[in-house]
Amino acid sequence: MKVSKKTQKKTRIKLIETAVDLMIQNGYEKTSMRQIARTAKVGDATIYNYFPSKEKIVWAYILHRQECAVAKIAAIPNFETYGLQEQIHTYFETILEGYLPDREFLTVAFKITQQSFVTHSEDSAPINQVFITQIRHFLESAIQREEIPKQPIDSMLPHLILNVYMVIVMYWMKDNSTHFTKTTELMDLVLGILMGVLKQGLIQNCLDLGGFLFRHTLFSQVNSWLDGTIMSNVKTQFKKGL
Amino acid sequence: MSELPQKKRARLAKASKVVLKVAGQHAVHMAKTPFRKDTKKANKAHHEKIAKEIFNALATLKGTALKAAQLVSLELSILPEEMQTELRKACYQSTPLNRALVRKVIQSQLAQAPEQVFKSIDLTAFAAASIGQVHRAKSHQGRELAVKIQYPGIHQTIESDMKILRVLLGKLPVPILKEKSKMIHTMLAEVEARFLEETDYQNEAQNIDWFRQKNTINGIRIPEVIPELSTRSVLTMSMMEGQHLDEWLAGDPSQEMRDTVAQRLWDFFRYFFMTQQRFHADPNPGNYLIGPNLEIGVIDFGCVKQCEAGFPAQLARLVSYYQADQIDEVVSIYQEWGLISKRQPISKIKPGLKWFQEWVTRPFKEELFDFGAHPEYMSQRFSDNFKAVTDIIDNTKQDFVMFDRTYMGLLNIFQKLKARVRLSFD
Ligand SMILES: Nc1ncnc2c1ncn2[C@@H]1O[C@H](COP(=O)(O)OP(=O)(O)OP(=O)(O)O)[C@@H](O)[C@H]1O
Ligand SMILES: [Mg+2]
Repeated sequence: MKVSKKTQKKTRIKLIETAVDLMIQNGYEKTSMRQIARTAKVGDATIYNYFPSKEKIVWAYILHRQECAVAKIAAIPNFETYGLQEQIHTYFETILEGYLPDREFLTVAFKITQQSFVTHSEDSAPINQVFITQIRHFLESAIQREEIPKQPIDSMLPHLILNVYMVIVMYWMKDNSTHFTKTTELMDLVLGILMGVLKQGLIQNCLDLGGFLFRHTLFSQVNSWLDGTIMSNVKTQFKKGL
Repeated sequence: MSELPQKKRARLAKASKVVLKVAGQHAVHMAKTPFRKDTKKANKAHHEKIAKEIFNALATLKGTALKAAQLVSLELSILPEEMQTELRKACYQSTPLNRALVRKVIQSQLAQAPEQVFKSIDLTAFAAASIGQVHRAKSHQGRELAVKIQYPGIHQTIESDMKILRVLLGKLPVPILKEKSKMIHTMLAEVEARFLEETDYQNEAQNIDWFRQKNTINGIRIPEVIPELSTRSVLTMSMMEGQHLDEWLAGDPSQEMRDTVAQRLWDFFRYFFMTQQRFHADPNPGNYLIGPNLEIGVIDFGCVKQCEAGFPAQLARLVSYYQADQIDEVVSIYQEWGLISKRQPISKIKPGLKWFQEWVTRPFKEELFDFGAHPEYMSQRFSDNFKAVTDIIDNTKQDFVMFDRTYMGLLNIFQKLKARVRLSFD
């Protein structure tokens, strides 16, 4: 029997959600493909038509969250009238919002995927692609409506923003302020600085200098802001990531 | 957005610098004066210079601490009248929250995106509030709403700003600040307690409900809270139509209209103070919206004062004693409240109260007091005569701080309105 595309997609999502729930409950190691299949009411063998391994499910989960966020912001009324900073900020918050029910799992997911998806791999490429396409779209519209001057939006700039995003996600995972107010403040701060550089059309200079200038300004600002002790590894990431 | 720690530190440093600068100027001045002939003139210039510095420092404070600064400086006449007026106008406007931040606050407070919570909402604010901003929205039932959204992290900002204010007031080499340190302490404690209450919109929502239920005053309207759309930092209420008092006044309303508005404001205050021992304690013109038929929409119930049960009656008695010239009774009430220390000899107190007695009872002597015919009335609070009262006051009472703020605030409005008002506590 041929299964329709729609049903296929539904099953895929069902499997991802079930897997994540089980992994949160029992831990990654103790969750088996078989258990996932049974809980999701999918045949023991059928699951392999969708995912060859547990690890791939974790990657698929991250990709799924990214796609959901893109769909969500597309549905926000008048989103095209938002400024660039508002758009990027809303995009970031929307992604985090999506991760919220599985926040503990994110730590596990990052460990399993063995890297922040900054480094390129066969698995991370599609995830990064979704993010970068979205960011590039924001930047292009901002140039079109003359909010920022014309400047090259090659892969360097969106990648820089991807790095910024990763640092924010890491901060968020450890943030214990009510409603993650601290993360929101960090976003506001970092995006504010980024916007300043973009508005002056200086990003290219910064990138030419190997990102040194930008990293320096950003880091010195953020450094004084992040003064909690748990933050030292975020700081290290921050230095490395940029 | 709320203040970031490094900015806070920077402002605290700035505040301490002002203190040092003022202290320095003061020292230089003290050293110079013995050799000066025109001491009086030099003194005046010196005081103006210091006042300017203090003013600059106070005006950098945020929302609530600024209000506290306004109150203390008014109460103690630390600043000359013009600066006092300026400071009252200085209303720190935070940078408004952008749409991403408004979304985030609504999402985290109401657990849904703004467009799900409301049928429609304008994510750009139509009015600034001291610790937040106000948005126009429509409910799914089609009701027009005002949604007040608090700046994230404002609680810490208030605490740190109050610290800055305490540093400023504690260290400035202004003699009156040293002499009245007890009084300042009581005032700041009261003000900080009230203002921290303002950061809990749930508390404000309860106040609105309570006043709405009890309100029987003709011509006074109070908004309705939508409880399911309100939390600690989001307050959703019915939209009140009308113009701010200042805007309305700019439209040149007739004497009768101004009289009606003023009388309604007084009746509203008197009724709740005398019969409920509880009153709306933030009489700034932005908190009254004048609607059709001169109906007054009272908004902003963040600052509401609950007094001790006997306080209003005692205050009314105080006014009657003043009117009947029974100064011994007046003094004994002040002593009971702790405003005047029992150690002060009555012979010193009586002359100090003389001028004040005449001033404070004047509006009560006439059936209708015409503020338009006495344009100088409120500014006499800054005259040298008034200082005689300040000299004999040692402390204040928490109930009295908020009463005084509200009473004086209302009278300021009446003065602005050039209204004829029947003032009485009966
Ligand atoms: N229910 C309402 N209907 C119409 N306008 C409102 C309403 N509530 C608030 N506003 C508008 O928002 C402004 C600020 O609201 P509000 O006075 O409650 O804030 P606040 O934080 O207490 O400010 P402040 O302490 O500076 O008075 C008001 O002056 C008014 O213009
Ligand atoms: Mg107000």
